[in-house]
Amino acid sequence: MPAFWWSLRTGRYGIRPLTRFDTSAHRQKIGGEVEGFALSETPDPALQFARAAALEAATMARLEEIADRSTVAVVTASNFGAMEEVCRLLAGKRNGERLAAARFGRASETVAEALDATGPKSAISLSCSSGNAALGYALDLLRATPIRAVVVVGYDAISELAWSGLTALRTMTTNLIRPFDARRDGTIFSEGAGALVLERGDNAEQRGVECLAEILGHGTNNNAFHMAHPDACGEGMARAMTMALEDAAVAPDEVDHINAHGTGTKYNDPTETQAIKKIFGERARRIPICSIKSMLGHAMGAASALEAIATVLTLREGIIPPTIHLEVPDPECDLDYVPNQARAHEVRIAISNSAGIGGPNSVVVLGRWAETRGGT
Amino acid sequence: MRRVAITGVGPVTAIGVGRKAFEKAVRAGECGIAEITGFEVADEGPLLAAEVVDLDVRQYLHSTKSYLDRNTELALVACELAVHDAGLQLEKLERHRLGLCLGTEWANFHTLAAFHHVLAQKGPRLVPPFLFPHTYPNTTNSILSIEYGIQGLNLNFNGFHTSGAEAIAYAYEAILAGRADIVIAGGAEALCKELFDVYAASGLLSPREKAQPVQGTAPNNTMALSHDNTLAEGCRPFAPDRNGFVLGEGAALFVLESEASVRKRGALPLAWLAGAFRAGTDLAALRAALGLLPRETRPQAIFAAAAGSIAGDECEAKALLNVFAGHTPPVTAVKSFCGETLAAAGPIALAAAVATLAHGQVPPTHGSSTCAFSGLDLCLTARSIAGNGEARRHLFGSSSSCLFVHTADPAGAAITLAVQS
Repeated sequence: MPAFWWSLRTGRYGIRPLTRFDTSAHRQKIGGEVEGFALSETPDPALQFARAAALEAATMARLEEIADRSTVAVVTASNFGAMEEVCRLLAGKRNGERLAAARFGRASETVAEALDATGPKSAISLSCSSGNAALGYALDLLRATPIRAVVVVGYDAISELAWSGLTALRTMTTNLIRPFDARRDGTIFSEGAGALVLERGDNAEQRGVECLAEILGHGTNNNAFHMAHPDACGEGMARAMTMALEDAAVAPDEVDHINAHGTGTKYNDPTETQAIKKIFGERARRIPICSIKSMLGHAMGAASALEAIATVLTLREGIIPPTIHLEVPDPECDLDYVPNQARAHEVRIAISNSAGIGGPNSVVVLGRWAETRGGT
Repeated sequence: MRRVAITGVGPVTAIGVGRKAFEKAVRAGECGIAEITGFEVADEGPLLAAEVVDLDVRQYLHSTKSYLDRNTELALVACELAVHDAGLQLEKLERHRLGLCLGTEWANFHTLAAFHHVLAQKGPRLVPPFLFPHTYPNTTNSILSIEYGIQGLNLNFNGFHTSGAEAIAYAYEAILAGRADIVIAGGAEALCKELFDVYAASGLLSPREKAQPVQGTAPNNTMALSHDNTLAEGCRPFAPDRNGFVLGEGAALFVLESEASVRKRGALPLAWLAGAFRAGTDLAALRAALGLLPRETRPQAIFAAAAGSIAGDECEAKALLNVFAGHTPPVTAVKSFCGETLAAAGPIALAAAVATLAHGQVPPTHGSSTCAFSGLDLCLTARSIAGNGEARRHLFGSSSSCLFVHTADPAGAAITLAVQS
């Protein structure tokens, strides 16, 4: 986490030539691979990322202190799961072990084993809003059931199959990813994992663990519009923000910061801008917004989990990471996107947006621990 | 009692499509397991599955579609049937108060396999762009959202046998929490050659019956000799001679509704969901569900997760015997006639439980001739339960019949749903 935050604050760019597979036959040869991570042969890289992220979060949360392990749940979120393992099955390399290793729920099983969490296991997939959707689901689990803590992991790895498909959709640029810039011409996909431990506030305070932030509410919906295009006026995204704010009992006026979905595609950025204006009106111009995808790339199922972590750090540190490569303003994207330089800014309540192919949107509302009422 | 109404049921199964046909088949004790007709099976592999045959999806669609994976087709048909069954007039509803929660384990696996095949044959520059979005695990969810204009609460669960039941559990909680008035919830799982071949190679399925090797022949045929040649291929939940499961396909979606919405619409609930309990083990989920009922009362029947697998059935049997102190209520296994439908299994079992509440007949566990677990009251033939058929007459009165629908995943996830009349 310290390395992640340092990179975000200093505007480090994470897109490089891909090394995971031979890109000679591919049109798109650059992406955001995790660097400095010693991948072993097995299991699938996606599962290794998920496990590593979960271990770090669980260590910070001193999760091992919770004596009744059956009250610790695991919720994972991903677009593609263990895709390399699935491809092995499809290539005819099949047996019982390989089947188990390729299941979409395998990440939850892997994380649960690593953390000795014996509560319920869930796996969620809601395209590029998977991470936030999982956070929202975890919040509702804590509200509605006796579960005490939920380990939420958004993860995805770059695989050749996913890369071929994502390239074929023509949403990626071979230039720079520059969200909200007039010259933007596509996103760039990346990989990784982000894990957060959600715990009942009373439970966490009782055992004296430091609470980093509070998750106040969430909203997850679907545009119900079109498989591949966002509805151009941002109705669905605006509706998800309203759902989240209502769930959090937070008024739009109380929101100090927005961590945007901000993919850098022609469609997304103005649509999201419109959605933000719908909710925040004139005040939208005074809310600092950032897209950390400008640095990380679009980490698919991990994206909104990583953005939630960035938002938690913003709440704690009072620093908003920059949207890098934002040099030429676009009249359709006319809000304050914190261009190129991190900014010191007091943030008490923030929202983090996400959206995905097929039309899902998921928004979470996060608050500084001390400022809020001491919930989850 | 914290309860949510079930006002529409849309089953698409090997024994029947639509609530009426499915109820009739459950009552008649029909079995949907047969030799596979939808695709070619491997020479030595299993022959049986519970397929949904002769399904014409076009009859159920509101708009023309350029491409649909079978998983999406099954869910679309189930959704249309459930919406129609509930008498929902979508144009009169507030769309953002209408939600959708789906579960599927392998999602559109056939499309993923097709995409993979092109990639392997032709390379990354010639993959079909239109197919790729259909490989996403949430595509069925998106297509249903678009088809029905569902703009409210949305979630998609994948990768566990419990995923369909989890979608129902979440819908139940979301309605109670006021996050939506009506949620369409359930699960779907499609069979295709690619998925079947993966399972056939896993050793999890009941193997094809092999002829006894004639004495003196093929002494070096270790495959033939290492198998237990005496067992027929089949699904035999909780039976001593069970040797694996038989795959199935299908979907079941439900219209779940708050009491206020039921009153407002003047709808007639078919049954009520009274609880949803998630855990990491069969035992914990069942124990939590039992905690819902007043002391000394038991569910009238249990719709078990058992599929004929050696370890899974034993684990569930032990949990049932533990929770019910060595003597269980009547237990039946829907997978014995609808197959192991993975993430659709929980929703299909719930549809069978709703059918049982309507006509009072707990369906028999097909295939099993005896029960391997003493004290486990396995329904080898149909069983009548008392206090049925009252659901529609006692809308908001106290309930008499309570059934448990239990689902479990070998990776350690279990969900028990409580349903009552």
